[in-house]
Amino acid sequence: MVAKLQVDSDNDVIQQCIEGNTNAFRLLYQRHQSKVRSLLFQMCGSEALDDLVQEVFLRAWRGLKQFRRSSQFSTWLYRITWNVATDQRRSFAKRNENHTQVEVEQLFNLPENKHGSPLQTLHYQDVLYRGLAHLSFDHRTVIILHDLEELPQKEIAAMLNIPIGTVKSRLFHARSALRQYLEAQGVEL
Amino acid sequence: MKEDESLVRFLRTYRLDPPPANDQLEERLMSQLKPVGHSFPWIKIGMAMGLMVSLLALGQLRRLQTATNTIDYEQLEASLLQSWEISSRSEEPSIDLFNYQEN
Repeated sequence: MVAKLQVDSDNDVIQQCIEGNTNAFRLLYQRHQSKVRSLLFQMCGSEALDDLVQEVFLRAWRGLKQFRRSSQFSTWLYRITWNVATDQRRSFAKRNENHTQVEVEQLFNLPENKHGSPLQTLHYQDVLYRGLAHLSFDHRTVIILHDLEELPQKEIAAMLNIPIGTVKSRLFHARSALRQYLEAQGVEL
Repeated sequence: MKEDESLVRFLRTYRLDPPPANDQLEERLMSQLKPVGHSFPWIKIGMAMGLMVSLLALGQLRRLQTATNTIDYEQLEASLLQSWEISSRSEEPSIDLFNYQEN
């Protein structure tokens, strides 16, 4: 049964989930969790990451009957991921409204130099995530989805429910702003 | 664009990966899954009941309004007086029975 499920397409597996097969949903989780986890990490940092991943898949399970098969399951799932990330960002901002700037170390749990990583790598990672935090949420989302997570522009447009032209324009402005920030920090691109 | 390529290369080189998931995460998720679509449709039934009650209340309200609107007290008074007059007249015999002669 599990072996048969392994080769089924997402749509076949979803049908089995709707019929109440929780094992089928386990397969969907195993197929997509790493991408969902990565997206959430890039957008929200490491705080409460497990809880956020769980929230995405619980929302997906509850909404499976509403999923229209006209789009890809992954696009639909990433849209839920984006919604969860947006909710998390709002609640995080609410909790930290007295602090003017949220520390990037706190969000991303930036590694200390314990593993003998070259100092330059740590410095660049720090500068990069500070640069991303410096962008607006819309610009950061598009640059994360396209340049870090390598999602195609068409999928990003469907996921965020915006025209593809808007994706291109946000990407252009986000890259310009990030490049400017990095260069001001002494990074040679 | 070359500028974009160098920026993207920088992003992908220095991106951080998420920390590994808790071992129990998958099982914790699976234990929270409840059957989809097999629960009793309380919301639908509640909405239908609510609609029915509102329609009944609306009907009753309209009936009361119509009844109140049609009562014309002056007309009622006049018709009561008229019927009283008729009834009091009808108490007096319109035909003199004592001197009645059949043709």
